[in-house]
Amino acid sequence: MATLVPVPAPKSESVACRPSVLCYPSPSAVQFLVLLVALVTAGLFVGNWVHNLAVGGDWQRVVAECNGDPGTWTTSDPEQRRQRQVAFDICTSPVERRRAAFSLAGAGVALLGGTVALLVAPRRVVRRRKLKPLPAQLAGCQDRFTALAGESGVRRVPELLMGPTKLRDAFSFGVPGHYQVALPRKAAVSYRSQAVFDPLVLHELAHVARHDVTYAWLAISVWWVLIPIMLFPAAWSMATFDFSILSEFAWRALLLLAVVRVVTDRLLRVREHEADLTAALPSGGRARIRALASSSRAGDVSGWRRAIARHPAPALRAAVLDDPARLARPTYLDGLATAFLAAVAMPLVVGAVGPALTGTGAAELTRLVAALAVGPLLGASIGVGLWRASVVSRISSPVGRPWQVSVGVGTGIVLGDLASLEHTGTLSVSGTPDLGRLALLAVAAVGATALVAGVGEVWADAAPAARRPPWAFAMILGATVFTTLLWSQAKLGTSLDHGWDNMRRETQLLLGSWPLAAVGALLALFALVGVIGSQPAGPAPAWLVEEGDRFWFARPVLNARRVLLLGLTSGAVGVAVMLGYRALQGAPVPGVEAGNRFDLYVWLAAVVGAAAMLALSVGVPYSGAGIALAASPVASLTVMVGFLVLNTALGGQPTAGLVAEFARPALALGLLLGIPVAAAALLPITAQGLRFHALTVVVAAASLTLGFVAVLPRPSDVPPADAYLTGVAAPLLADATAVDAALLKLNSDPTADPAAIASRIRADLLPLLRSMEARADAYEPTDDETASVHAVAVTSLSTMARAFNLQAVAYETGDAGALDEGRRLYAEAMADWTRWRVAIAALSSRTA
Amino acid sequence: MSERVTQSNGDEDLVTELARVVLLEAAPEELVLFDETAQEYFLDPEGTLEAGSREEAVGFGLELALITPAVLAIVTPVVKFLVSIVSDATKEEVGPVVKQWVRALFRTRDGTETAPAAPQALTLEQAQQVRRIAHDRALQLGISEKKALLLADAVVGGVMVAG
Repeated sequence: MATLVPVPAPKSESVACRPSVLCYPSPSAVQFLVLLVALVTAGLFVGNWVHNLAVGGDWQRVVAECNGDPGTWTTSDPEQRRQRQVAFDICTSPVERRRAAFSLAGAGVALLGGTVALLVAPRRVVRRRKLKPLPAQLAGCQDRFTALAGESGVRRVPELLMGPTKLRDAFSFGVPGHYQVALPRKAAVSYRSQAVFDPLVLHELAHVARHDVTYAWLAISVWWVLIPIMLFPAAWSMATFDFSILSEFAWRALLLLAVVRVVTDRLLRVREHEADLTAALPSGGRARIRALASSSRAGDVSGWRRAIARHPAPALRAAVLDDPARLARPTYLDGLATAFLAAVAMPLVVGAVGPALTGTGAAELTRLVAALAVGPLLGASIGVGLWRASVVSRISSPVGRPWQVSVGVGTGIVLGDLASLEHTGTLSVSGTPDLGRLALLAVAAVGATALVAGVGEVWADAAPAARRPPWAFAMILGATVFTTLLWSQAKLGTSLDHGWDNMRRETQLLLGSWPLAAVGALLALFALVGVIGSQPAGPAPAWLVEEGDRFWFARPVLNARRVLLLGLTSGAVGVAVMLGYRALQGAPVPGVEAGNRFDLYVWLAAVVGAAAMLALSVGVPYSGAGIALAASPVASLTVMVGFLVLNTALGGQPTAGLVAEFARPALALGLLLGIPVAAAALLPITAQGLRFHALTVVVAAASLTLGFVAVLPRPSDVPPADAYLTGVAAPLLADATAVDAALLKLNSDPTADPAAIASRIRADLLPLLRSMEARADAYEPTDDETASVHAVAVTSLSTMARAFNLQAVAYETGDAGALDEGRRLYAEAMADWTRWRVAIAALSSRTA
Repeated sequence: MSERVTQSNGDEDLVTELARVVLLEAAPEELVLFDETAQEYFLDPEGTLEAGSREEAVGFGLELALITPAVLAIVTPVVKFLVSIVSDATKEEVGPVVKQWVRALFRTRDGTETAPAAPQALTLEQAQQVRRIAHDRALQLGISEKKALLLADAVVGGVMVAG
């Protein structure tokens, strides 16, 4: 097999090939939508904040009443606990929905205010800039403008206005259906000038045709509307001397507004390049627009002003006009900004949708709804940008691995998550974020980007066979991958808090689902279609070439048969590991151990799929992760076939139910593991052919699966007491230290007034206690001894949370009776906690 | 273009007329909006000459300025100079007669003049002085050297010069 380094076709007597980068929709259009979502969802936080201010006391009272006797929560019967939870949800649903309505109203005000501002803006612009219709003596200017509008394909000719002498630049504004273009007087009187008037007007008409006017003015309008909305909580905090969340809110709000401003201006600069390229399309247009753009003064700034300039530097405009491929290369900032804004919005949507679905029986959909609100936009933006870069690189200079944009996405998604307004005052008592979850999120985001880029490379190889640019597939693939990523990380977020074993079990239960398996199959199909359509040679498709020869960077490709073979090879390694394990461990005891063994094989199949992803990502530059998307399910299913054969040979029945029970989690978990693993595609390793690929697959699959089997604890091997002490008791004791620290801090401030004490209890103590409660609730004891010990902890934590909640209410309302009751409950909880610690100590000394 | 522009209202019509003559040579396409532009200039000379700092959201990024306000600003000291010459020559204070005589110095499109018994043309020295005044003023306005020379030539070309 030949080298995979791109080889240019012979260039003798060829005319330089100019790519048509505008054949794909611009990622900047989708990025504008991400930006708007981030702005509008900030209104969710303010709405919720107003709720707490207006009816927060009533909400707390109802929730406390619904919570009832904490003793009813401590049952060890899962069904009873589930019923108790359902009853609690139904009881609190009216106040929760009211809370959701406040949040949505906040978002609605932001959106409505922005829309009203957008609608009002044109009149304001006309009035403030003193714009007027053209005088009769400039009828020729109007005629030329109308003619150029016809040439540029604008459906409805924008209204042409002229500014006063002070107006020196042309610009567009208005609303859809009634766009307006303002010309400076010099341009209006120069309507016979092809060097000035034509390129200037064509540039503005390009803005109109590409809907830049709406995007830009809407983003600017919402930004301005959001400033007073965001100022409200800060102003209220200062007016009431309640500074408990002010600093955490203020830095997040300021950061969001600053990032949105910088991103808006960056997107405007990109749209300027695109308008230039559109205006350059008519014959002779490029030289004229280049000359005019080179003479512009806007954007010719340096330093920090560069970040908020709304126009690119003149030299850069000329460079992009000379080489449009420059515009098609996604950058670190593209990934960073888009992911940041999406990640800022995601927790806010979760925080608003969750209460709205309380008591409906559909609360499980909360994170899915949130992921669907944000993921498709983030993914579509990343997808279309990377796919466009891949295909454009086939006829221009090759691009390297997309590590810049991938790292940008990974960084942005973590920073956005940290900076989300939803986390104001709730990260943790100590204010430290969950680093493990964030690290996993970052790696998964990098991997998801590499995955989308890999499929883009595969489809770029198939471009010569495509009749039109496959941008819709780029968007669908990106949207699917990133929605899956955001949904799964949101689901996994709470599992990670409860330890590795819980995470493994919950991952299998929560995420090993048919929808996710179907997503894995869909993505595999995407990749396979690209692999089948891949062609090692051109010519370039006509839609990709604006002018010049249809020159194509030929590149050897892996055909579908080889991809299948690599998947089977990886799967075969997994089967071998499975057989070896069975031989060493012998038959499992029927019942729990047999179930655990089945789960182990399911995970083995998933890990083998991830191993195929790792091997191909490392072994095949550029397109490896994309190809692996097709090979990975093959590997997992090969293990499944091996399992069925083994099971049948040992007397089992290969029923359809068994196949489904194995395939569903194996495919779903294989995809989930494969996403972060795909980050390996960014490593600068050059492949050496099919043998190298096969060897890489075998080594990766063997090392991963063997390593997995070695580290995976078999539940039956671990004594329940040991598992309890290390997996549950130790983390609870660590959290208790943080509670002690928070209490000490609270008690050491004698000047705090009742409102401040209540606020600190809610901000500092209750979140931690609820986290401890959730951790304790998630544990399912496997023997009577740990069950009896654990029940004491559950009771203590539940009572303690209730005690502090009651005390907070008492401080807020001045109810002395409630305060006494809260203190009594606290004493009761502490007595239970002491009992539990004594029991833990006894358990510990016995196991030692 | 930060220097404050001063304007004698009494000379506005002369300034306007000479500016028209200069624009005929320098930028004839701007004459179609001359009246509106001159009106704006006399209301706020500084504002019309200053470049705006606003960067339009969906604009081109250009700095396309009419030359008319600059021409009006350049010919203003020139007209003052011409008035002083005529006043010295006729021993008259500023008045209708002087204005008429100054106007007679302007070279109209057909090259004719209308005022009777007036100084027929500037001397060569006076013309050089006019050129220098126009050139200096143009530079003060921030106009490039090359363009300032062209405008100064256009101003001199707009008045009658003997010989």
